[in-house]
Amino acid sequence: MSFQLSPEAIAAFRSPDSVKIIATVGKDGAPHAVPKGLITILDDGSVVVYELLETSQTQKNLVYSIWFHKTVAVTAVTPDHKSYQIKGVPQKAIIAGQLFLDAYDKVQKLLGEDVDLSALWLITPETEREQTFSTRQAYERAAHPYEIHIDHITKEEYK
Amino acid sequence: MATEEKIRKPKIDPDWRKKEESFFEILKKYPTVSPFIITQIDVQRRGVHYTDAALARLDPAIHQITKPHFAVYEGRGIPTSLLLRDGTSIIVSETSTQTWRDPYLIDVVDGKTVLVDEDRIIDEVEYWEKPQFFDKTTSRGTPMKEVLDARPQRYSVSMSNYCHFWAVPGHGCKYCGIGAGGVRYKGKANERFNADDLRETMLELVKEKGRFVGVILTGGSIFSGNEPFDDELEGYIAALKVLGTVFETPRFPSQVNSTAFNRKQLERLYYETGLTSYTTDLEAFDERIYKWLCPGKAAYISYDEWKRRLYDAVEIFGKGQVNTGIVSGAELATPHGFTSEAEAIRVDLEEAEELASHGVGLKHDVWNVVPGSIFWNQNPPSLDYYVHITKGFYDILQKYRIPTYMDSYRKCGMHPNVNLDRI
Repeated sequence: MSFQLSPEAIAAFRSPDSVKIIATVGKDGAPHAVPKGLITILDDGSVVVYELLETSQTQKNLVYSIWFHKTVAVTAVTPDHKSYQIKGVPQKAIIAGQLFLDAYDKVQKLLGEDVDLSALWLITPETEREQTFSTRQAYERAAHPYEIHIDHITKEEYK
Repeated sequence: MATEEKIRKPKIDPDWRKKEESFFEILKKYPTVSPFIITQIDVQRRGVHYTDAALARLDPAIHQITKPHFAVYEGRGIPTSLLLRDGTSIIVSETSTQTWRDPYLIDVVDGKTVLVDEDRIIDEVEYWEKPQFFDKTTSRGTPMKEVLDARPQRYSVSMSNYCHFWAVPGHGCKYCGIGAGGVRYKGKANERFNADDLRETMLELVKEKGRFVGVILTGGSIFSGNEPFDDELEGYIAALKVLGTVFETPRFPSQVNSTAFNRKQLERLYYETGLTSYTTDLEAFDERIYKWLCPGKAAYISYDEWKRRLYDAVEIFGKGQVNTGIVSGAELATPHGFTSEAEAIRVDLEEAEELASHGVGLKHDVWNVVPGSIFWNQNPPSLDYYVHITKGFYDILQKYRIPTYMDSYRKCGMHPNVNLDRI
């Protein structure tokens, strides 16, 4: 895989303590962002999303994305409020075969036998960005120093 | 890329590519139709050939394997079918498609199994993996893979290998390569399913967690019984009762694809079993063509009566739980078919709209011109025709808000317009 994810992002997505969110767009163009418990990173750098519901909007949007080469975004937020966003295009929906069956077994062990698995989505990362607020603030202020309210730069004695 | 000198060549028209729009031109022409579905259609339309490198990737311990008709494979098995990256199945080899066009190649390039046309890689493909019960036998000694067949997410029961229409000269459906060879099962032990074999196989199948989402039961027409097709009905009821014993719910994901039963028969099928959905295929959406393609069906059930039975089925099973299909392209067969693709499309879509307005779901199969069928030497229409029909059926189903889950890419996989309904 040509694009390399940072060790920090990989760790955030692999941590069971992180909150993970996937954002997709469907044929109506409306954004759809939802938390997903099971999103992780494989050793080859692919993002893997466990979609549990065949009829969910995320599932429909992931199909739309693989069909028409649309980008999706996944975000992991760590317990200490660091966050990492990866954008990429779905590469494959694993819906059968031994890989799927192994994933099915894993899901049921983690979440209970009442839970189903619809597809294992592999997403090829194309960009990564740390979205931790302090990091973004520092970056944006350096890049666009005059795009702030002036009270941030007003001398203290004149406030 | 491997060159393949041994491609079967029944009768390939060397100029066929000059006479119709290419795969890539069709992709551009229909930007809202999934490229994966267009790929499925075209591969089912033209068939595939496997290179030696592709066949070397076939592992009998893992994959579903079919013995093909073509001598070119020298007795070797080939993959039963293919999976695309989005989960779409290409149901291609089981009927050994023959057309006047070059088949696609399945080859190995840079370590990947790929679909190739004119040295251009179309996409990556996978072979279907077989379920574990395929390697087991029943206590009667029947291989379980002969009791229940499988696709990536569904299992199926072949109810009757012998279609009675083929017992009457001239009554077999002209596109069908199954019924033509089915007469050899007449009176044999394996003419119809065996309940004990089915029960034992089902008990093995349900041990495979995560493997299946539904079953289809289908088979040749059986016109014997107190009323025509009563014996066929009794078979379905018996088999569904066997299947139902393993489920804790009164109904379970299932489809019967049978001859068109009358209202009384349909009510028995619904109320005496756990069946959830029903299909009976008109095969053509035009009465004249129906009579020509399916003279056996037409002799027993008129075109209008077939439609009326579909409407009855919707009342019993519910909207979205009943559909009907055509062998798309066969209505253009010579000498009595439509003479232009435009006319065929117009008639197909008009009748599709009529059916959908009564709540009947729509599906179409890409016509496989198969050895052993009466139409063995015909040629299916263009890719443009197929994508037009696919989009047309899809749009009509959207207009009438008819769900397609009963025959989805998971529960069947054959029908491009239904496969399109995933977004």
